[in-house]
Amino acid sequence: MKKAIVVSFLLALGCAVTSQAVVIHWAVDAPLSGTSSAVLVYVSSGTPAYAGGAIATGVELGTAVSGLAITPLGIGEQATTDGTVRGEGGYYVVLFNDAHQYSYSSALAYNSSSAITADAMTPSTGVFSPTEFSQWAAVPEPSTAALLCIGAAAAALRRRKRV
Amino acid sequence: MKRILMFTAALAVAVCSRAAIQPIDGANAVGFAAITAPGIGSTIITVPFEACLGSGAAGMLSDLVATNGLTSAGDPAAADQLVVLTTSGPSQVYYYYWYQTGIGWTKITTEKIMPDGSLQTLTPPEANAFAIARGLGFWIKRSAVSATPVYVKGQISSAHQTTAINPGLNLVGYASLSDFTLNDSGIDWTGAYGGTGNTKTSDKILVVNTDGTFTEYFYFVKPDGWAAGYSALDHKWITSGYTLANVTIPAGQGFWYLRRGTGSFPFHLDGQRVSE
Repeated sequence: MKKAIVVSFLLALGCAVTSQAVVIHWAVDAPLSGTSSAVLVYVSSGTPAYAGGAIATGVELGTAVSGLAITPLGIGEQATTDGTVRGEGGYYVVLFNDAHQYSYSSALAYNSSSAITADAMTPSTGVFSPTEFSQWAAVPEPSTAALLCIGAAAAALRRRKRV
Repeated sequence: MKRILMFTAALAVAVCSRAAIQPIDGANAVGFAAITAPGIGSTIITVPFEACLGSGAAGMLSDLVATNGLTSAGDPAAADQLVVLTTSGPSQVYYYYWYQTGIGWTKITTEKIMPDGSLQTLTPPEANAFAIARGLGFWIKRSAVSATPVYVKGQISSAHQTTAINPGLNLVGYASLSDFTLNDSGIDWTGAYGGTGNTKTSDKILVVNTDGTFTEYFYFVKPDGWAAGYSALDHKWITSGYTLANVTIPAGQGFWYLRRGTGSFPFHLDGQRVSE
């Protein structure tokens, strides 16, 4: 009897430990006006940031949501898989508009059990639905980023020459 | 004279014997179904049968799931297991059974960690005393790589089958011997909740794929005033990207149903149409 209990404990523990991927359930009730797409981003610390046309701080997970999924009432429920085991940080919903701007939500803790599923036998029933978003900020284009780099390099050279 | 007496006696015995044989009712047909359940993984299965010689009655777990081709062992960790979702007081719990060599399906006593940190001991009934209603889903956890399907058996039911979907998570299945598509099967989805248009409030079906991942589908009811692009999705099961669900669930495979609407509703799992 005791052996069976211990074995079942070990089985449950084994399932939890070996589970690599987690599924994050998220949605948005009231996205910012003009939202044309959205994606889930993991950031170990700080907040998501973009540069050179791509994410500079964080990791985009899954594919961006667009089209009919951006409904008049918000973004419908999404299930995004993160195949990397996280020990800190949080998940953010990042919105984009057609003017190449982005906005990020409040965060979901990496280990929140309410909206994160790790095991098919115990699916979560909650959904991460952020209500607060940052102001729209421009996503620097690659050319813009390159110009900024050149400018910074030129400024550094000029300063060096003066010294 | 002797010959006539002998013949008469034999005839009388034959008539008596014939009279003693009960007629076999053709409705009692026993069936088998093979369900694909990959090795080293968990699959939700459902049994489309009822108890043998018990028309309308639920079969017992040990009778419904054949052990042919499954992995037995002297240790639960090395054996195939059945995991059945049930209720214990107000909460849902799992009961575990394992295929013990030489014995068959054997219950496992487990302990559940409660919110206050205490342990609740879960002692399942014996597998031959645990009734599983037709259309309920449960898990099979296979411990070894095997191409052998799982065989379920029982008496074929001629009755339409209805399963109550209660608020929260339900493990259910399509209690039929044919495959099941979420849309276009003529299934009566009256009672499924379409929410407000945002699928986060809709009823949801979670199908477990062979690699252990989920695919999720949502019931959608188009709110008034929404663009024409949503019309084709009205009263249908859709994906998270708001496209029509195009999924076939094999016969015998179960799924999670997350009920977000209020109250329960009767789910006609065997293709019963509204008009019937």
